[in-house]
Amino acid sequence: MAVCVAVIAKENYPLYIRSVPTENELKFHYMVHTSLDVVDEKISAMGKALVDQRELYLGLLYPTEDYKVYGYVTNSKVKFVMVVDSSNTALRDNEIRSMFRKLHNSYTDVMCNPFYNPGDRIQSRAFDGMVTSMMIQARQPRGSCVSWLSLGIAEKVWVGALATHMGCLGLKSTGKEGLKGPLSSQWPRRRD
Amino acid sequence: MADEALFLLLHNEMVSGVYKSAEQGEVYVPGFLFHKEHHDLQENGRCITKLENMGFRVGQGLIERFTKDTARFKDELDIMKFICKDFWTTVFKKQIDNLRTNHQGIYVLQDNKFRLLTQMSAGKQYLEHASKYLAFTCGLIRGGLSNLGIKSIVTAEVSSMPACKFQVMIQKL
Repeated sequence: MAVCVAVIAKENYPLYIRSVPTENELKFHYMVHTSLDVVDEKISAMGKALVDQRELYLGLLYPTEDYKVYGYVTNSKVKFVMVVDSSNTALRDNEIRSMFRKLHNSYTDVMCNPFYNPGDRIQSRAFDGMVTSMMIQARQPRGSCVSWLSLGIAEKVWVGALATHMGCLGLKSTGKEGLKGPLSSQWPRRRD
Repeated sequence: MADEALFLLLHNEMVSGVYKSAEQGEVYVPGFLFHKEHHDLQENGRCITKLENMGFRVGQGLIERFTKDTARFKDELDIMKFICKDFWTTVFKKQIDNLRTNHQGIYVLQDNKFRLLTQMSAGKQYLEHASKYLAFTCGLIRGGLSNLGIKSIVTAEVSSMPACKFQVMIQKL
């Protein structure tokens, strides 16, 4: 389960970035930003016959004390970066790979959408929903609940599904905040 | 999957649709004949640009889908070979017959039997109109290359139907 998911365009500005809402989301944005250097390093290293894989999946970019960062670059130079909690039960490599594949499939669908202009922020709800399914559902203290009336219809269906799924685990579903993450306006838009 | 004839018919309609809407939109003073020819040329240019831009957007989306599962490309030549083989096969059900390059950013793709032109007579009669039917494909190539990170200019020429040549000029930044 990811803690933060980001889609970065080939000009290195974010098309989509969403993290689990905690007190300090800027930390995740910063981590994704610094991981771009590692991604570039890995891509250029592939030019030399060092790694002859020619794969799209880059693997673990770098581990910090709390988090691990994974990367994936498509053939159109769009980068996907995923930050995962280290303390989580060690996610196996092929689980991460399958998460990236799902991301890539959804991104391709967004690209083929005639109402989407390449280079814009991704605002597709289907994409949002797919990313939500991969993120950790932040645990809220028992007893708090989100006002049912504040949710839209699609969100209600989604929350209902989550609630039944998590009911057996005894966790409260998070409701709305997982669905509309703050879009980063702090990143400078660099169109080189 | 779907028959090739479907795309061919749609493409022909698209070309005539773009030209028809341009014709309806135009307003010119009939008194000045030489201005009309100039005007027609301009209209022609605008329609070709429109078709090319359509092809561009479609090319971007198509390339994203086709390169989803392929390995990473080594260099520019690799990308051009991909366009000539896999991309052309998926869109037109055949490969490019000849790829030439001067190794300095100019590639010429030659197709001896271009799918979108085979239904037109093989003589000289419609040679001048052929460029309208190539505009979309030029845009397709340009859009595909742009999504793969290559800026280019694509032009097409027909010397004898149905063979045509696409010239790709890579722009180094």
